[in-house]
Amino acid sequence: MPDKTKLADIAKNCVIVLLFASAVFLLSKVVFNGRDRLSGELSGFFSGKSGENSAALPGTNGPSSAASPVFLMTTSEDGSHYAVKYAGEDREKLVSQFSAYLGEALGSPARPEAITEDLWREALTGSGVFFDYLYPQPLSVLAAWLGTEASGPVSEKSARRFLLADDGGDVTLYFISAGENRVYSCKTAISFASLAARIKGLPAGSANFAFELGGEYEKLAPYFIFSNESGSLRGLSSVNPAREGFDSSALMDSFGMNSQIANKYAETGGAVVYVDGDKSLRFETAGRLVFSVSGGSGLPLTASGSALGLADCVSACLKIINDSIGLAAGDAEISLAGVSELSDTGNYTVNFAYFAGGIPVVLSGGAYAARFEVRGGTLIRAELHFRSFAFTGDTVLVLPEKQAAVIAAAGPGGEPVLSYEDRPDGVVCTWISHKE
Amino acid sequence: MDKSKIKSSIIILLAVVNVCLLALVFSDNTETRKARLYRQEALEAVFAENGIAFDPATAIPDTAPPLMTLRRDVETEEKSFRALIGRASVEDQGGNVFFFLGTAGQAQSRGTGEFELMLLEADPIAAGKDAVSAAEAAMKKLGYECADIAPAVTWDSSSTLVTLVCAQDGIPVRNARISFYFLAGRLQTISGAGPLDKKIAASAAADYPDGITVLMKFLELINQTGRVCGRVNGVGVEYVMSSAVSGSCTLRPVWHIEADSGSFFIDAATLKEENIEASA
Repeated sequence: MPDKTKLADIAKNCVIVLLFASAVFLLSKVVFNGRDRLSGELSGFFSGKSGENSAALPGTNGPSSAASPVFLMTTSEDGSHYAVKYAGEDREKLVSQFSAYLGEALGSPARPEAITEDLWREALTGSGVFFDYLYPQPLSVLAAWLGTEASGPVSEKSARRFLLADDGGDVTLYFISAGENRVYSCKTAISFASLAARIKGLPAGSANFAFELGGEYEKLAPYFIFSNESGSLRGLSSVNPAREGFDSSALMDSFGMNSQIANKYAETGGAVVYVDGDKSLRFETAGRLVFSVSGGSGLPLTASGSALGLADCVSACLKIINDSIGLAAGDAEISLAGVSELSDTGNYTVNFAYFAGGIPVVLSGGAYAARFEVRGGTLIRAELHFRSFAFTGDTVLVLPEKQAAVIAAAGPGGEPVLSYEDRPDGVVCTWISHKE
Repeated sequence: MDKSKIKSSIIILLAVVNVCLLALVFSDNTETRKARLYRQEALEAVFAENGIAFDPATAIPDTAPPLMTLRRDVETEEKSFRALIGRASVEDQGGNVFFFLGTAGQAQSRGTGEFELMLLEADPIAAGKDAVSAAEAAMKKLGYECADIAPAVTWDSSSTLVTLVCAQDGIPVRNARISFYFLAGRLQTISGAGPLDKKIAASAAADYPDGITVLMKFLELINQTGRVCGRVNGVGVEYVMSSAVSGSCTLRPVWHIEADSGSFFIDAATLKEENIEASA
C-alpha cells in the first residue's frame, strides 16, 4: 500500500509539473500571439540573444571604412560608359558591387610598372571599372578597409583614381600615384569574368571623360566625368555646436589629458584653454579645437613599444574623430582626405574632410574637418573643426554639370567639383575648382 | 488538509487554467486566420479593380527574413573543395584569393563567395545520374544549400550547363548561382558564387513592412510604370547577396512577386524595386 501511495504521489507531481509547463507554454502563446515569435523568443532565450539586432561576434570587426569613391564609372565591352557621381542609391549599388574587387586587386598585385598616360587613357576606354575617391587614399589603408592587405611596393603608394581593367580575361589594376603623378599598372590574381557579368547588367550609359571629348574641354581636368546627372540637390544647413557647450572632460580624455588636474583659463577672445603638463587643448567659440604638445613627447597612438604603421595611425585618428567632431557632425560624414609623408617611420600628417550626401563640404578658409600631425608615432598636434550639418528638406537647384564644365573650360580650367560651401551666412551648393 | 488533497486541488486548478488558455489560443488562432483571409480577400478585390487577377491559393508570407551577414572561413572552404578535388594544397594569392590544388582537380575562390573549380579526372558524381541530379549532388558536396527553384539547363550535342540557385536557411539567395558544366557526360567545371561560410550576425526584421503592404506597393509600382501585369501567381521572400568588403557578404531580404509578365523583386526594407541581375 505504501508503495501505491508513493507511486500516486510521484504521478501527481509529474502531472503538476506537466500541467504547469503546459500552462506557461499556452500563456506565452497568448501573450506573444504567434508561434514564430514565440519560437524566436525561446531560441533567443536559450542562445543568450535578445532577438533584437544582434551584434557581430567578437573578432569579426575589421577597421571601419572612412572613405568611399565619390565617382564611379563602368565601361562595357562596346566602350560605352555608365557613371554615377556623389551619393545616391545608384552609387551605393555600384560601390557594393565593385568595391570588393578593388580590395582584392590591391591585395594581390604583381610588382607595379610605370606606364605612359596614353596607355592609361587607352585602358580607361576599354572594359573596366573606374573609381575616384576625390582625395588620395593610402593603398595600404584602402585595402584594409576593403577586407584585404596590400603588400609590396603597392602598399607604399597613395592614389585617388583607380581602374580595374580587362586584360585578356584577367584584371589589371591601374592607379595614378599621388605625389609622383605617375601611372602604374599591375596584374592581379583576379579574373575579369565576374566583373564583366556585373558590368553587363548595368544600364546603358552616356558618360564621358573630359579627355575623350577634347575640343572645348581641353583645359578641363582630363578625368573629369560628364555623367549627365540632373542638377537638383538637397539643401543643407550648418550650426556651430560649440555654442551649446561641449563635454570638455570627454574631449580631454580623447587626447590623453586629465580633466581633474588640468588648468583652465579663458582668453579675451572667448577661447577656453586647458593645460595638462605639456599638453594643451584650446577650444574657440567658432568651433575650432586645437590640441598641441609643447616639448616632450606627444600622445602615443599605439601600445608602448610597438611601431605605428599607417593603417594604425589612420585608425587612431578616426577614433579621436568618432569621439569628438563625429558626434556632432549630424547628417555629414567625415572621410579621409589624404595623408602626407607616407612611410612607416611614424611621421604622418593625416587630413579628414566633411561630406554630406557624398558631396564634399568646404569649410571657410579651406580648412579640413580634422588634421592630425603625428611624429615618431605620437600625436603632437591636432586641429578639429566642429560643425553640425542637417539636410533642410528643401531642394536646391545648381548649375548643370555641363554648364559648369563649359565655364571652367573657358576660364582657368581645372576640375569643377560640386560642393557644399559652409559660409558665415549659410551653406550654399556650388561648383568649386578642386585642387589636388 | 493532507498533501495528497492539496496536490489534487492544484491539479484541478492547473487543468482549468490549461483549458482556459487553450480556448484563448484557439480563439486567437481563429481570429488571426479570419483576419488573414479578410485581408487577402480585400487584397484580391483591390487587385481585381486594377485589372490584375490574384490567385486565391497564393500564400503570402507575413514578413521578410532578417538581414544576415556571413563571413568567409577558408578552412570550411578547403573541406568543401576536398570533397571534389581531393586533398589539396592551399596557396594564398593575395587579396583574399586562394588557390587549391588537389589530386583530382583545382579551384580558386575569392572573398566575395565566387569560385571556379575544375575537375581533372572523371568524377563519380555524374555516373548514372542525369545532369541536374549530378549537379545537385555536387552542390551538396560543396556544402551549399540548393534552393527550391527550377534549375536553368542549356545543352548542345556534347555539353550540358546546369545552373542552380543557392539557399540560406531554406530561403533562396536569388543571385547566388552555381553553374555545372558537363562535357560528354562528365562534370568538368563548377563556377559561380555562393553564400559565405559562417553566419556572424542577423538583424531583427521587426521594422519590415508586411506582405500585404508590399503587395500594395507592387500595385502602385505597376500603375506608375504602366507595366503589363494580368495575374499574380506567387509571392515569396528571398535574399540578394552583396559583398562590399572582401571576406564578408550581406544577405538582404527581398520580396519576389511572380506575375504572368515576369518576376518582380522588391526590397523588404525600402520597398523599392530591385533589378536582381544588376545586383549580381
